[in-house]
Amino acid sequence: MADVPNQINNITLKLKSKDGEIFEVEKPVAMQINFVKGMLEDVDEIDGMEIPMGEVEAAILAKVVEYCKFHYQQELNQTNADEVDRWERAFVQVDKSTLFQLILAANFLDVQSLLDLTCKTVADMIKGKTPEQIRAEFDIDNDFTPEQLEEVRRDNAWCAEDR
Amino acid sequence: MSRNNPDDAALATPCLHKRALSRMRPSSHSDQPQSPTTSPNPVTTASTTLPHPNTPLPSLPIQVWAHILSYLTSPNHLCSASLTTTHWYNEIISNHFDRVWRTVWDQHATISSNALLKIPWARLPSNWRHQVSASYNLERLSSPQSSARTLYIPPRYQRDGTVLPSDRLHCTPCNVDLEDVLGKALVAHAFASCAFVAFEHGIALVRRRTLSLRNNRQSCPSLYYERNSFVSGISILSLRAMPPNASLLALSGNGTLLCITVNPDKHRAISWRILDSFASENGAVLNVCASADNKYAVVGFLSGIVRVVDIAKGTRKHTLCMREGADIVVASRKWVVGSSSFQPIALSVWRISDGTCVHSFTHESPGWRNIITIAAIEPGNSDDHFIIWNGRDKLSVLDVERGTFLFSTDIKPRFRRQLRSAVEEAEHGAGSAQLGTCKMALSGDKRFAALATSNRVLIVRVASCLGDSTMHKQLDGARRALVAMSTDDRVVVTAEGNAFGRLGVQVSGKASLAESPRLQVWNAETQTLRSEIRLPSAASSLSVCADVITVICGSIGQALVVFAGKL
Repeated sequence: MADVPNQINNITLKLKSKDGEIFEVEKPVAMQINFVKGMLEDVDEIDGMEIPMGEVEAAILAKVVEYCKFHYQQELNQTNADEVDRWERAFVQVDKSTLFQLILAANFLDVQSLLDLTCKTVADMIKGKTPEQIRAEFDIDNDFTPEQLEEVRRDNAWCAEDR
Repeated sequence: MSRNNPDDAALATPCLHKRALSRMRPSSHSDQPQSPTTSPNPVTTASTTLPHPNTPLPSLPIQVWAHILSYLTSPNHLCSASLTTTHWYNEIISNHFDRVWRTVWDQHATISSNALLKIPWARLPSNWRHQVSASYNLERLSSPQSSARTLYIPPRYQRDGTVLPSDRLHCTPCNVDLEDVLGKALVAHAFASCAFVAFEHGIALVRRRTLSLRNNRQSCPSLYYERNSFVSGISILSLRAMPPNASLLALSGNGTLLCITVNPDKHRAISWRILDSFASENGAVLNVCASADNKYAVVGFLSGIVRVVDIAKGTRKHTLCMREGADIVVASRKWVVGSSSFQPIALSVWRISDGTCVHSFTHESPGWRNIITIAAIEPGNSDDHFIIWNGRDKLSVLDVERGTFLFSTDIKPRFRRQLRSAVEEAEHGAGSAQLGTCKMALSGDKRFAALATSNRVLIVRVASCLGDSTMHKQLDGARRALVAMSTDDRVVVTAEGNAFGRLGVQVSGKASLAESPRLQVWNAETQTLRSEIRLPSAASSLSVCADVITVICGSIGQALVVFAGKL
């Protein structure tokens, strides 16, 4: 019986990015991606199977695989929470474009913990900024009319004084 | 994450960007963040390159933004985000704000009880954001120069949303959830230093008390309330006499006419006696008023019956009859006037001493052709004079002894708006008996009238000198208003209402067409807006006395009591 987990671990899957690059990933790592997990539910022979990962490009898929791999390992080894936190903070130290693509990938591939991590990172970037700074940060157009803006400001007056 | 956080700096500085990118790049393994469990070698079989930092940002789906915004937990962050774009605003308003504002509310209640004592108003149980906003603006209303952010203290809540029983026992509005105890608010009236509010299951009196706190005299509200079936479901209130013998006429839910006496200084602040009962009457009561000498109560019925009740004796003096429903009834010392406000209008005048009908007008009577509807009638300076506002373009003074108009004031065409639809007119409430008494407010000397039209409030001189009769000023922006004037005539208060606001309580429970209705305080002399507060729904009752304002948001049954201090 002791060999069974090893056999499972030895099964590898090939995750194929949008631009055709292949990532060979051990099955337990790949199974953290719910998108993959769902695809494998009805398949008997999966060893070496090639799975297209939709619109996710190679660079981003590499990051997703890296993330899943780390979390698989840390579950096995019961890694200290502080270390996990430190690793995750380093993991999301990327430019905004990459971060956004990671969010899209996590959302598409249904990796909830990665989606949470990346969304929280974007939320942290919003915190402490004025509306103008937020718009500049994320290339957002101001679609408020002056009257709407004034009304919202009036509603938020209690809060605005604090800044 | 604060601005001083080195992680933030890493996001903002290009060189750190590059270093971070190189650390993340699968092809550059040496800098990859290490943990005891991670393999230094990636599993990838292909070298990959991350997007260039200047690549345009991909657009995120709305639900992802919603997820991101859910990580904003402080009011400041949410306020900033809500001002960024309308999509974020809508998302934050609908899904995130309320729990945050509730936290603000709860936290603020624990900060400084002294500061909270200064909040002179009763609870406005709306969503928490509106409550914070309204509370804050009310504080501004009472002390515009104040720089302190103070909020009205909330009661403590149990998990099921009801107020803690221990908090209900305190006799201050700060700690009583009146809605739990008394049900929805139906109608209210302001007195010199207090406000009387009628609820579904009882009545309440909000009083202003002055406290001395370490040589600081501060005003704080206190509450007297009674849950009693005799005084439940009061739907009509009419002021009978001002302090020191303050009393009101009230029609209770079981068809009983009550005379309610208010004495804020007594332990039992409210007492009442039954004047008459109309439970067996055929037809609903539409209006109640007291005669100018406070001797008689006049009650108008849908059936066209008008009853006159001797208040002192508690007996019926007359039963009068008019051809249409008696939507509006008013009485001077000598005359009773009953009117139906809807077309075809009818107006009857009776002598109060013997009940003789001296006049009966319709829109076909000579001189009445232009009066299609009647929005309000008030007694004038003389016992024989009654001021009639048709809700559109004409303010007239009727001499009821002679049966002729003394004069009429025509509203200048530029102040009028063409009638648009039945719905708009219904919202205006010009033809609504329920709102009739709030469509005109007279100054103490009855020389000026504040008149509500569908799109503005006009201040018109009510004088016999014809040269001045067309003079009027406007409060632009006071739409579909209920209108009231402060005791010293210097302030006009308007609250946006509609004909359904009050019916909503009785019929559907929710029928407010007005968007963002507002309570507005105007300077009567300069016609400038002094303050405004957003109401949770359209107002169905408005009353002002000195610096006390009461508003009922009828469709949701909420009472707002403002002790404005510097009106």
